[in-house]
Order: sequence, then structure tokens, then C-alpha cells
Amino acid sequence: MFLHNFKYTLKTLFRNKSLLFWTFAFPLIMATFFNMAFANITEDENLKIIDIAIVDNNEFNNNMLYKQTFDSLGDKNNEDRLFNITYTKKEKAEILLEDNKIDGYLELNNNKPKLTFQSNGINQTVIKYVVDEIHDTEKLISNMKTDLSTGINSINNNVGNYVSAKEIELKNTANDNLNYIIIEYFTLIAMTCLYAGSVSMISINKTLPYLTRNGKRIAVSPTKKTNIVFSSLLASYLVQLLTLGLLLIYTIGILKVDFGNEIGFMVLLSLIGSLAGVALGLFIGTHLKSSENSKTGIMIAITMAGSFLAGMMGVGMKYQIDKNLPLLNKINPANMITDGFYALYYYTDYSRFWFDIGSLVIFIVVLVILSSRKIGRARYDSI
Amino acid sequence: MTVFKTFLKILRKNILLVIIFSILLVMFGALRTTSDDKTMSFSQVKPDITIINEDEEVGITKGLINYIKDNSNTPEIEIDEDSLNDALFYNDTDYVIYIPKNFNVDFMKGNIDNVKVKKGNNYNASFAEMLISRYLKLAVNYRSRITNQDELVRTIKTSLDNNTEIEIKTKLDTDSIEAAEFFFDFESYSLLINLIFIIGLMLSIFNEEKVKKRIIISSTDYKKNNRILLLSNLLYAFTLWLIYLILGIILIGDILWTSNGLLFILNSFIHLITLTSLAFLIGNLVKKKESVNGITNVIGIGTCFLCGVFVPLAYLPDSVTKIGHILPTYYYVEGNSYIAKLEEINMTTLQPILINMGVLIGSAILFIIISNIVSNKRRKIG
Repeated sequence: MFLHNFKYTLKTLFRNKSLLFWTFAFPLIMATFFNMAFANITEDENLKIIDIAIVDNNEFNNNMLYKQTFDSLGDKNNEDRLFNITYTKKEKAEILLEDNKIDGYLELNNNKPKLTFQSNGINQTVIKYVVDEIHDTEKLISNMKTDLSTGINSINNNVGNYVSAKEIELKNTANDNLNYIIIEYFTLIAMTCLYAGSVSMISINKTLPYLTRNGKRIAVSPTKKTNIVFSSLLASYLVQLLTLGLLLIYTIGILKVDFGNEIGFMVLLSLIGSLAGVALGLFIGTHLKSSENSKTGIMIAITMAGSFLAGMMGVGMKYQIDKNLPLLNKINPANMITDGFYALYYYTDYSRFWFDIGSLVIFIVVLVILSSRKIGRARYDSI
Repeated sequence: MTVFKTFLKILRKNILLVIIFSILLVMFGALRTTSDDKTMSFSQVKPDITIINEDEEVGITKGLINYIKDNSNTPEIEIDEDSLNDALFYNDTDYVIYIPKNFNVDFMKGNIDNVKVKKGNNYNASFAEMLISRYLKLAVNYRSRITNQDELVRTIKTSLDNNTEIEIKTKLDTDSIEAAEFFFDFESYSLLINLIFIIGLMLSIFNEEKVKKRIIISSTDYKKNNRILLLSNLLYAFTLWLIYLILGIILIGDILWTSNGLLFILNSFIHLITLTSLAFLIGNLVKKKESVNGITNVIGIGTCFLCGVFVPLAYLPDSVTKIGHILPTYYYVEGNSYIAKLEEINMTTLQPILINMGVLIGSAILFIIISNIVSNKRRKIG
């Protein structure tokens, strides 16, 4: 009987087209969109090369400090190149600025720098800083009461280097894995794990006497209920593992998403996460006495709300909830899974990861106990 | 009336979804509401720097801390390592600097190796590094000449105290305009989902074979039925747009009454027509009402990822924007970005915006023609 029900549950699940779309296709489609849209973001977040113009007048060309600094910072062969510089007349610089081709332009008048920007922004702030630093150098030289030309000579090995940030190197102890976009993929895996809830709920509904004819027949048959429920859940779990396997193969193998080096632990977490999804579906399926449609609605609402709080529609959400309402995310299975992945990716010790695994196990055990009590107690005088 | 009543019934049944996507719009729109500070002078961007100081706050240590505080925001984060690491990962802070014990003494002896930092992975973090490095470079350079720490700090401060002349050209209130641009961009997601879902559901229900057969043999003219159906959908689309516009006025405010704001509204209205005709086409193509939800999500999320709604166009790889070009929403979002930069209104500056609006209208006409062809073919039931 166990095998019989297992086989037919599998058949029923694979014939449910809507379920197949949401569990198999939808996560893959989402992963594809993530991959397309986020490909450039982290690369773009370090300092970009800023387009500027410099008014090419005699004053600029005669001021060695400014000229050498900008030559160096705009040098295409310089590893620390900061600017893409157009040397031009003032009128042309104005036009470039109006057309948003440059972020700003520099003009030297009476040896004093003047910057012209279209609007405020980070690039404009960086340009101002560089000009300020050249100004610092001028003051440094005059403060040291040396002749300007000797001053330049003393640092003229590379004036640009002086202005660029390389000279003072402070020891950076931050972890290299700082790509926060990865959280989007983690929430996607978490959502897929919880979709197991929809799968298990559909298979459980089939065994419930008040919902289906099949359920009524099972109820009056001499078969053990645990056998039926367990084989249905096992079939759901198998479908879920296929879904999850496909998603992991697709993201790691085809989209080449870098999840870090802990693939083994990732798989373990996904397996337990899926079990949490199955348990959630079992719990809702057995505890809510409503139609299949409204159960599905509630299941999807819980999955989406959980994924939302875990950062799916904006990574910052997870951080804000973790920081301000930690309890909410501690009981949110989507976050337990996402946080476990995050711990593996970012933290070098495993305590946070095991805490998340522990939370998931407790979540599963509690829901399974509550559900089995409910199933065990269900009695019908007539139906 | 029966058709309109059915429409309202379907809408009522799915009103939760409409409300959820409207709330999302409000939440994201509110994220970008601007401050009242509308000065047109230069204001520098300040990175978030967290200072963990173990030294006494005297001499060069004090100077450095004051300098960082003046030039950055110092976010409130619990000072335990895990909280700091989380904050760095999620960009709540861009940069953490650990000033060790005896820094002020060690620094004067020429040692800064024990200063540790944690640098985040973003633009502001690189800028924060530049900012701190500027102070330390000056300090290192003056250190050989000035041995008294207080004097050293004073000298650095004078050196840093320079007023580079800066002119800001724009006459626009860029902060508010960016907030408006963000709101209108995101509005396309809420509209897209709500229009395709409701209109798609509605048409797929009316296109069901059984229902269609009943309509054909009934005494009412099926053309009249179709007309009422069309009007109900248009009424729904327009009402939704109007509600979003009112939300926009509440969230963004006065900027909508400027010429840029009015152009945003016009662009959004033209986009509404395109989206409604797209929803019509999808509704006519869908055979089963069960599949409307899936199709809506794939089209909604896909369009918004590819057209610069979720991730700004500037950040999207070229290959993605090329795909985006085949979708009308791309021209809407691009049009919004042109409007946001519009300084003065004349034919030259308006041209790119008008071209994009033209593409939107063209797409709407195309969708209507295809819808008609599809529904004509479908009218014959075997």
C-alpha cells in the first residue's frame, strides 16, 4: 500500500501543470532574470572612471602640480586611473556638461581652481576631493617654507600618486565575500524550499476525507493512516528534491553564480529547508479546514511574505528586520534558510549556520508533532 | 450591466492582489521621499564610516575622529563584531576604522600599521578610503616637521580648510525629480501586474468556450457585450492610474506641478494605454484562467528586470538593455530618465521624449491590431 500510494501521489503531482510551473519553471525564470539584471551591479560599485573636462588654458598648462596630477590620474596605463579627461576650451566643456557627457569641468583662474557641475552627486564629490587634495599639497609645500619648485621636485616622482589614495594603505580585514546581491539568490532557493509546502499540501489534501472522494475512500479502508500520509509526504519530498536539484544545477552550473566554497553544507541546508517546506504544507493542509484553493492561497501568501521579509524584493529588508525585529525573522523559515546560506557565504565560523539548522529542525519537529496529533485525532461519525 | 457586474465581481474577488501591489508601490515610493533641504549649492556626498576607537581621544586621534565625523555620517550600529560585519555586508556602513590603543603615541613614532579597517564593497567605501587617506597623508607629511600633536592637528586643519569655488548649473530640484522618476518607474510594475492579471482573468473567463457559446446564443448583441467589456476594462485601468497618481501627489508633492512633473504624468498616461492594450492582447491569447497568474508574474517581473524598473538602466549590462528594447516599458523608463534631466523645454530637448512616447503609442496600436486578429479567429467555435 505504501508503494502504491507513493507511486500514485507522484503521478498526481506530475500531472498538476500549475504546480509544475510554480515549483519547477518559476524559480528558474526568476534566477535567469536575477542573473541578467544583477550581472553588472557589484562590478559597478567600486570607484568608476569619471568623465571630466579641463579647460586647456595657459594657466593650467603652466601649473605643474595640477597638470602632473591630472595627467597621472587620467593616464590610461595607470592602474589607479580615476578620470577620463577631455582637455578643451571652456565653451566646449559647457556643452559637454549640458549634454551629460561629463560630470564636471575644472578651470584654473589666477591659479585658483573653479569646478562647474551640473548637479550634486558622488562623482562630483570625488572630483572636488581630488582638487582639494592638490590644494592640500600646495599648502603643505608652502607651509614647509620651501620654494614651490623644489617642493614639487621633492615629490615629483609621481605627483599623481600623492593625490591618489594608494600611498597610505591601511590593513583591510573585511571578508572578501561582500557581494550582497547573492542574498537574492539565497532567498530564491529559500522560496523554492518552501514551495515544497504547496507540493506536500496538494498530496495531503488528496488523503483528507472532507476534501476529496479519494480521501473518503482512504478513511474507510483498513490501511494505516501513517502509511498513507508518510508515502504522500515522501513523494512530495522527492518532487521537491528534483526541483531544488534543477535550480542548484542551473544557478551554479549554467548561470555560474558564485555561492562560495561550502557547496556540501549548502546542499545539507537545502535538504533540511525543503523538509521545513514539506512540514509547513503538512501543517496547513491538516489544520485548515477550508477548500483546496484557499489553502493554496494561504500557503503562497506565507511563502511570499516569508521571502519578502528574508530580502527577496530588496536585500535591505532582511537586514532591517534582523536588526529591528529579530524575533520575526527567527521564526520565519524563509529567513532561517536564507540566513544559513548567508552564514556559510560570509562568516568563517559555523556557529551561525548551525544555529539556523537547529532552528529549522525545531520548526520541522514542532509542525510534524502538531500535524500528527491532528491527523491521529480526526474522527468522522458520518461524512 | 450583467457584463459590468461580472467584471466587478471578479475584481472584488481579487482585490487583495490589487491592494498588495498598490501597497508595494507606496512602500517603495515612500522610501525615496526627499528632505526639505532644497538648496541648489554644492553639497558633498557623505559616506557612512564607523569609528571603533580604543585610544584616548587626544591629539592626532581626536583630530582624525573629528575630521571623519565632519565628513561622513556615523551610523548607529551595535559595537559587536557580528553586527559590524552584517552592517558592512548590507551597506549599513561603508567603512569601519579601528583606532588601536596608543595610536596617538605610535603615530608620532611613525607607526600606523596597527590601524585596521574594514572596507565595504561599494562606491562610497572607496570614497571613504580616499577621505581617511587624505588626512593621514597630510599628517604623515607634516609629522617630520611638527612634533607637538595639537599643533600638528591645527596645521592639518588649516591645510584641509580650502574653499574650492564650485558652481552648480542645474536649476532643477534634482532630489525631488529623482524621487518622482523612481516613483513613476516603479508604478509601471504595479500597473503591469494589476492590469494584466485582472484584464487577463476577465477576458479568459469570457473567452471560455461554455461562456462564449452562451453569449452567442443569447439575445444580447455580442458586439455590445464586447463594448461593455472593453469599457469596463478601460474604466478599471483609468481608475487605477488615477489612484496611483493621487498616491504620487501625496508622496512626492509639488514637483508634479512643474513642467517635468507634468511630463512624467503624461508619459505615465501614455504608458497606461500601452499596458492596457497589452493586457487585452494577453487576455485574448490565454486559454485557461488558471494560467493567468503565472503569465502575469513572468511578464511583470521579466519586463521590470529587463527595462530598468527594478535595477536602473545605467547598471544593466548592454546585452540586457538590448533585449529590453523590444519591450514598450523600456521606452517608458528611458523617457522618464530624459524627463528627469530636462532643464528647458524646446523642440530639441523634447525630441527624445516625444520619440519614446511615439514608440509607446505605436506599440499600443500594434497590440490592438493583433488582439483583433486573435479574437476574430477565436470567434468561430467548432
